[in-house]
Amino acid sequence: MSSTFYVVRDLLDKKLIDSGNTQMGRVDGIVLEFPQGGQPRLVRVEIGGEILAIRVARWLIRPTRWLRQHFGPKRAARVKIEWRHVKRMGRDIHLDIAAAETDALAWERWLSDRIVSRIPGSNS
Amino acid sequence: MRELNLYELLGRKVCDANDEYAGCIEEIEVERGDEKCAVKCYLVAHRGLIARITSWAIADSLQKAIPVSEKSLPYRVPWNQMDLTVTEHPRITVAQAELRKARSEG
Amino acid sequence: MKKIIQVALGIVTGIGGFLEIGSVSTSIQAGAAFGYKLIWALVVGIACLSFLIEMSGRFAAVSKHTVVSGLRDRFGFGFSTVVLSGVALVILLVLTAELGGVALSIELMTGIGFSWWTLPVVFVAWLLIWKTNLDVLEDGSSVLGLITLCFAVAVHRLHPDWGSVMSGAVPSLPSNDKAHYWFICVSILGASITPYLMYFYSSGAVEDKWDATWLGVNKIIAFAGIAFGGLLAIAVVIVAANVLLPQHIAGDTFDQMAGMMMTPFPKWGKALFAASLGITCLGAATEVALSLSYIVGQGLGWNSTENAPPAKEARFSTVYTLALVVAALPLLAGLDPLKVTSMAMALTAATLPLAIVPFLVLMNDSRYLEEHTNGVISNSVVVVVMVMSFVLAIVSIPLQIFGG
Repeated sequence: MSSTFYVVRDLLDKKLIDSGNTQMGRVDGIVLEFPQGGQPRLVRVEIGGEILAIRVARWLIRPTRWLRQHFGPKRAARVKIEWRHVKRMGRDIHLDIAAAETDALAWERWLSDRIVSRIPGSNS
Repeated sequence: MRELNLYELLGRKVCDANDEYAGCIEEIEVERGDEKCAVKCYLVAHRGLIARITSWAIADSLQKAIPVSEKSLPYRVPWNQMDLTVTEHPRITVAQAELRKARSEG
Repeated sequence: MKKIIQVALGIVTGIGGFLEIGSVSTSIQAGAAFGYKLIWALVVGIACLSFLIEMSGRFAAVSKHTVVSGLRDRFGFGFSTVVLSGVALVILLVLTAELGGVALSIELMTGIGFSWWTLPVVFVAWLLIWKTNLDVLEDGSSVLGLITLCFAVAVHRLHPDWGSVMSGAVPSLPSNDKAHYWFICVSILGASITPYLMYFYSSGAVEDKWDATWLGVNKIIAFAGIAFGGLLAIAVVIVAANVLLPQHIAGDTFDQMAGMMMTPFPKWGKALFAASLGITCLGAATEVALSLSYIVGQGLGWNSTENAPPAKEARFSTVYTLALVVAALPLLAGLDPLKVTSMAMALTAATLPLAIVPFLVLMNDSRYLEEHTNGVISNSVVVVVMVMSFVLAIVSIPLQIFGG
């Protein structure tokens, strides 16, 4: 299927739904590649707090990077999702990969394992 | 092969071939593909602050009801007429007159 | 059958869930100072809230998105973050007020200062959210909140002049103390039109998987439920007007507020008042804390649901836990909950445009609502009330100093 769409209106900030119908985040960033002399292409979408920080103000990247390196789970700065994994676009963006295959739920797993699961009653 | 994030492009001020200010990159239209999406054109808007805030805030149905001057409609700059060699200073490779002509025809 | 039960529960929620520290304290102060003259402000606030709740439910049912989710979708990260951060800060203050309301209720019955009760109250509120799901929380607080019908019984026992009560529904200006009058008016609007309810209601609708077939049910719940709840707030005004006003008691301390119920209920008045406030404020506190989790989670795209075990929604449960702890700090420091309530209500009124203008844009966007976008009446009612609230709120901060 081929059709045109607008990157800001139809893709940026939309919810990402994985292959198991779980929300895995939002399209925080979009990456375009520019081949020498060739037509630019949208190649992937990204999830990540650092991207949001840069969108607010570029100077926030350093403190955000420092926080990621010193606190919380060890994880990639950004979750990179290649365009070929986008199956359907509508109000939400549906993917053919599972959130568990990516670092999208790194914070969720870390908080659950380290803190929340240890509190009585957290599993019922 | 160079890669750029969308946030590095959006909002950048754009000049035309005569070094005249043409607007800011506000949107990118792409052709959807299975592996990648090809960029068709960049929407460069030469709008005042009021117009930008209102288009941001007003629903599409209301926007259509408000008459806008042709001057405030965005330029549709085909991908091959946008020079992004220096990301911080994008340049349109034609004069604005040509873009205005294309806008009124299209 | 499910829809009939939902309608019934929705109306019960409106009755039992409308009153909380903000609406009770502002209604009492209104009645004690100006008799029935501010009933019109309650009517206006209730009407506006009904429209907003109906819109929130309609948005969720048709777009399958919550209001917060729609805000980020439509306006992008930057704008939606500014809006939601501002609203969230005020909502956090409202949470402090609700927790304080519960603590004050216990202080009323035990004589032990509210600061001592703050941590136990926070723990109970947290435990309710932690151990139960959304249905149990909502339905439980609604049913228990029916104790607030005692205010309606109190009105019946006081035999007010109904002609004067009805004339209070028509706006009129006070002969004196104008600054105080408008300050209470703004506080009533801020107590009635609470943005957190919009976010919470739309989240509940999405969690319950509403679709377009629920639009009729949504209308009934929004209008009938809120109307019944609003009538109870008017009942509080009537009681204050008949008990406190003749005695020139301002009704701005908790003891005075509770004392007004001793006239219609000589034996049980204080206990009824304490139980009413305690239960409804606890219910409101859990809703407000959850709203904050919904705001953060839905804005960032988490799989936010109250219906999963906390371990499966670790980020979501961490946010409401932190929110409860942070909200408790002013109370632990000894800040008077009624003063916090007063400030929270005025700030809510002042920040209404921040919450409502983007929401109105969403409600007129056919990409989300298809053929169910707002009509002229819905838009007009909300715009008029919002502008009125905002204009009044602009002067409410100096009024807070002169009239509060």
